[in-house]
Amino acid sequence: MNFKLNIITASLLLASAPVLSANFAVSQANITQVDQQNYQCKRCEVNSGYRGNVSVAAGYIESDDVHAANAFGTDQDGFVATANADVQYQNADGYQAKFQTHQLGYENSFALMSAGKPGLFNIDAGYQLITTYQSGDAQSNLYYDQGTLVGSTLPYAFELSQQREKMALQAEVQHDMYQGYVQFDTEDKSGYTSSSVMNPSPVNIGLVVDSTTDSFTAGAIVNGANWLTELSYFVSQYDNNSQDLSFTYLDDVYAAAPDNEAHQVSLSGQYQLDSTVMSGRFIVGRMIQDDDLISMNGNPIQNWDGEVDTTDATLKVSSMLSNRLRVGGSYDYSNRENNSSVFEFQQYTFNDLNDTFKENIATDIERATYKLNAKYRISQGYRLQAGYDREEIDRSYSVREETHDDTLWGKLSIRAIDNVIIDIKAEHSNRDGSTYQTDELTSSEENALMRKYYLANRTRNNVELSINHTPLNWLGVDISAHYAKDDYDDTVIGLTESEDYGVNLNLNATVSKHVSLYGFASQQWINSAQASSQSYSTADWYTDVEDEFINIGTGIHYGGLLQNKLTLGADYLFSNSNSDTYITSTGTTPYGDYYSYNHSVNMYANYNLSNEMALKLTYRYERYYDTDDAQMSLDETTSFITLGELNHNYSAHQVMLNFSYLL
Amino acid sequence: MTESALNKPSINDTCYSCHAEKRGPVLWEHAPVTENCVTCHNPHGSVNESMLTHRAPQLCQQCHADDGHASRVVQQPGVDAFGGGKSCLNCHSQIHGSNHPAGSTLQR
Ligand code: HEC
Ligand code: HEC
Ligand code: HEC
Ligand code: HEC
Repeated sequence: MNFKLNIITASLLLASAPVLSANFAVSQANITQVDQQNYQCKRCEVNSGYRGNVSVAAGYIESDDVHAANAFGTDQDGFVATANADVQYQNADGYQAKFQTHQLGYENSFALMSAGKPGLFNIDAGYQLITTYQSGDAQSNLYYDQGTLVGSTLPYAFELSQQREKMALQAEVQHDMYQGYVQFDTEDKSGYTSSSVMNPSPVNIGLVVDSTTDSFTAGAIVNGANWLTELSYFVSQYDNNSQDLSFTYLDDVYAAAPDNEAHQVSLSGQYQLDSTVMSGRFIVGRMIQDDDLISMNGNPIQNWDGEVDTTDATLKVSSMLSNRLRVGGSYDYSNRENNSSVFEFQQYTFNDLNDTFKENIATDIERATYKLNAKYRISQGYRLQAGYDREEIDRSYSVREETHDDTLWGKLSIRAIDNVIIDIKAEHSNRDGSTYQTDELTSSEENALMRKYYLANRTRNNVELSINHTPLNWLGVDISAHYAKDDYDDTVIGLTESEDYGVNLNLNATVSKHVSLYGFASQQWINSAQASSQSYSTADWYTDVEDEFINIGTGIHYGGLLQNKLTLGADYLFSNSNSDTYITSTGTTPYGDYYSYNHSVNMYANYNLSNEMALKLTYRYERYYDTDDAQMSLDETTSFITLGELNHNYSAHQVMLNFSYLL
Repeated sequence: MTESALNKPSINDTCYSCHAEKRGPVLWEHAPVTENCVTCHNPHGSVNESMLTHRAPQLCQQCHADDGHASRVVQQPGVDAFGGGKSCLNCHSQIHGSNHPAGSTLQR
């Protein structure tokens, strides 16, 4: 059994997904996959000495919008330089070391070091910078003086961006059947994010982000030939260094996110008996938040004893009953028990404290999930999978305290036709639950016909088809399509239906020994309909939202030129997202423009100066445009203050010359 | 360390590992946030900022129809504080919950 995974590299892999999708979704397809190759175990190679390569790159970036830094990895403009390394060392006794850096000097970069002897010990250290840019041109006339927002007459421009600087250390030791590990990491987050305060009319602000999250994990593993058990402890501490906000004339308009800590103890195990594998896990946790509360009239306490206890358990069994049939099942239980105290706090009506007192609500949530599935090989080339899942959720203080989702699914995999792989998946699910109740703790003014979509009765149907065809040994074609539909038939007010469908086409061709080409195109639609009631009775107005994405890309890689010394290549990507909203009350009116598009071009020439040395010239072009009619300039309204129009419209260029040396 | 130790017990726990400020608990929780982050965020991407399944006001109006402003028609996005700028979040900015003693309506 091999369960090993390094947390630092794993968190990098993990991090890459949300980060890249973090900037406006249009760049989705632009995800430059973290090269998995670099993280694979290289321990089986016996050659000793140094291996790998080091490189330095220098170049020039021309950009007048900091948003381009999301694509280029740095917000530096003009001359830039960076270094990369990927070096491994191994000696005859089996000791290994590894050093890897990515874009050192850039605002998105990392460095990893690792040393050890497989089967004995390993030490890892990592450093990582992640920076995301929203806008370089947000406008505000509020300055920070500690926790006080001080107005000035003229607005100034500032950058909405956030940076995370993370350091991690990990050590592992192994002896026979015992293994132990400790891991520590600390992450500082800083920058500005957009938020809003009431003054008493709304004022959008650049909220200071300045916090540190430390976490520590320690664990021990014991394993035998067919079993493994692990005990671990995890603690995470969040410290917010930014303050509650006030105006000079209005106190405490914004409470900063409070410091908090979380603990978890986990016991897990795996056991294999013949062709049956069982695994289980039991976790108890506690989340604590007892930061000082803002002291004010109508607040009876100095600090709250926020405390949530969690219990999570998982049990999984999978068994090969015959050489054609595998069956499996699992049970997951999760309980979140909010044991925090409840007090009455005086609330505001608009901006005056009044006699309204409200109790805070300590919600408990309990979940159970059951899954059963079977995999059956019908004949050579045909495999059928089917399953039934049920999820039950109980939450307290809700208009609907219990809901359950039942799902039936099936999947047919066909490998019977030469060079063709076909997968068809279908799913049907149904949500129902307890009767609705008006709870005195939830809003009393809620329209009784409202069915919040996460609680509402729902029917979901989903089909997916994918075909991989390799008609010729140099040509691959992938086609996939999906259609999913959610119906909330019993909903009068709220989300009534939504659908999500799309198609993907992918072509890969290795035209000759030296030339490869690819192309892809995909389109996706997400539509939804909702009903509302302005008259506080039955539905009297409706909203339809129609979202659409398009991604088109193509590229060529041409090697073997000039006696195998020169490689040329180019990639082009176009992405577009569009959202249309229609309001129907007396007539139907559409919202204004809300879309974005992006052209990305990447061209390179790589020249091998010798067996060890290479020069690579790269040119990148980014054209990015987005517009959103909801954005308002500072003087467009007097009813509230915005950060200005945060739309983008730019072209940016990057030229880099990279020198690499193969060790 | 095994995969099991990296694998967080719930979606929210996974999100908290990088967004610890959302972990709380806070005095005034916003019920859907405590229950499941992906009720409003689509991790597969969306046309909206913050990977929101819908943006405000539509997102909010899929769950709120209170007597008064929550269910009013928001005709054009760029006109007033209901459709312009951050829409409902112009006033209800503490959308993930507030720790302000007077923060029950997620405004401070
Ligand atoms: C009720 C819907 C809703 C739920 C549920 C929700 N969010 Fe959000 N989230 C929002 C909205 C709306 C924004 C945009 C805020 C803005 O533009 O100021 C947002 C923004 C964010 C952001 C970016 C801005 C920031 O605050 O840093 C993060 C990160 C985030 N959410 C994480 C989470 C996590 C983690 C959870 C689960 C614990 C969660 N969200 C649950 C509505 C929600
Ligand atoms: C491995 C770390 C990691 C995990 C796990 C993670 N995020 Fe994030 N997320 C980030 C980073 C980094 C950013 C970029 C902004 C920043 O630094 O906060 C981000 C940004 C966001 C944003 C803002 C995007 C925008 O357009 O401004 C949202 C919303 C968000 N995350 C939600 C979630 C939710 C929901 C989950 C759980 C399903 C989650 N994240 C899990 C690292 C993570
Ligand atoms: C998935 C459903 C859901 C979504 C989406 C949602 N909310 Fe809520 N919200 C709730 C629930 C549940 C409560 C708890 C009170 C109740 O049951 O009405 C709540 C409470 C509130 C409250 C406090 C109400 C009170 O009586 O004090 C405010 C304010 C609020 N939400 C604003 C918003 C805004 C603004 C948005 C859009 C960004 C939003 N909500 C999106 C489900 C949702
Ligand atoms: C101009 C500021 C402002 C905007 C914009 C705004 N709200 Fe409110 N909202 C308030 C105030 C103030 C209260 C408290 C009312 C009270 O205490 O009587 C409130 C209360 C609420 C409540 C609590 C229930 C109630 O009616 O008392 C909900 C839910 C709510 N708002 C939802 C929304 C939604 C959804 C939107 C967007 C369509 C929105 N709000 C936009 C200021 C605003």
